[in-house]
Amino acid sequence: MTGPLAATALHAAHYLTWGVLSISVANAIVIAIMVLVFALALIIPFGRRHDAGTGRGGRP
Amino acid sequence: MTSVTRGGAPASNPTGSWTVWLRNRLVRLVPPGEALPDRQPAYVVSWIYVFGVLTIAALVVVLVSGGLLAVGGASWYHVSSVGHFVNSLHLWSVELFFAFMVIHLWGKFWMAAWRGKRTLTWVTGVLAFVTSIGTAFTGYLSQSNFDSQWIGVEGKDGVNAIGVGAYFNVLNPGQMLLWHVVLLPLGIGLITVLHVVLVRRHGVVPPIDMEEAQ
Repeated sequence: MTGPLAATALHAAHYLTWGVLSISVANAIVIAIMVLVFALALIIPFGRRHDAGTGRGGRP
Repeated sequence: MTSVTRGGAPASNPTGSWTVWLRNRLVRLVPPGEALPDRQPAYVVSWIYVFGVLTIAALVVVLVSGGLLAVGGASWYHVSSVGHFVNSLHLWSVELFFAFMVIHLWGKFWMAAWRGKRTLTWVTGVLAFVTSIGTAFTGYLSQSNFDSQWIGVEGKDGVNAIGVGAYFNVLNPGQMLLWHVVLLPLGIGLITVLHVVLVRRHGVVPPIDMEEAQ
């Protein structure tokens, strides 16, 4: 591999260890971002609410 | 064959014709107007309901980029900048596919989305997730580089331990490539269609407090 990322890509990954658990920093960051996106999806309002609720699909 | 005017399909199947039976089953598979609805209940107005269709959108990019890689061949991305770009497109669409699918899974788990006769919808989602993991695994085995060799050697004992090593040999790159580009995508496609049909058949699950109030 060449280019600016070559130095980082060819080195061993950094790992977080806690007892028997071990995870690479890269994977931990990806999971943290997914949790953040999940939380934001619950918090951030979704567009307009007008005439919502008249649609079908309320089939418990 | 029953003689009827066009569009006047009989509701019953007195002739025992399998085409009539199949047509009636397909028509009744999803309630009228629910196959491609343009309106949804008020509780669907939330970003958490977007991740299912985002997963499908990512899957489309995965399939298209995978198809382009199949045209170029397994080693194309090693020798071509265009091939490398398409390979990266395939990798990152898979990353997004899994991220969206897992967030969709989290959302549906905390909604207890298997309520209201939606057990099979949940089960097909689980099957889609497991099949996707297998497809990603065979994809890593099809990279035709040292990484795929290492993963194959590391994975063979686990696969042998569950008793399928004679039929699913992770050290056979040709077999793994064919599983990756034919069998597993076919499985994911069929399971995804079934999953979406079940979602449209039963509708989006209402919030738990709404169900308790009724």
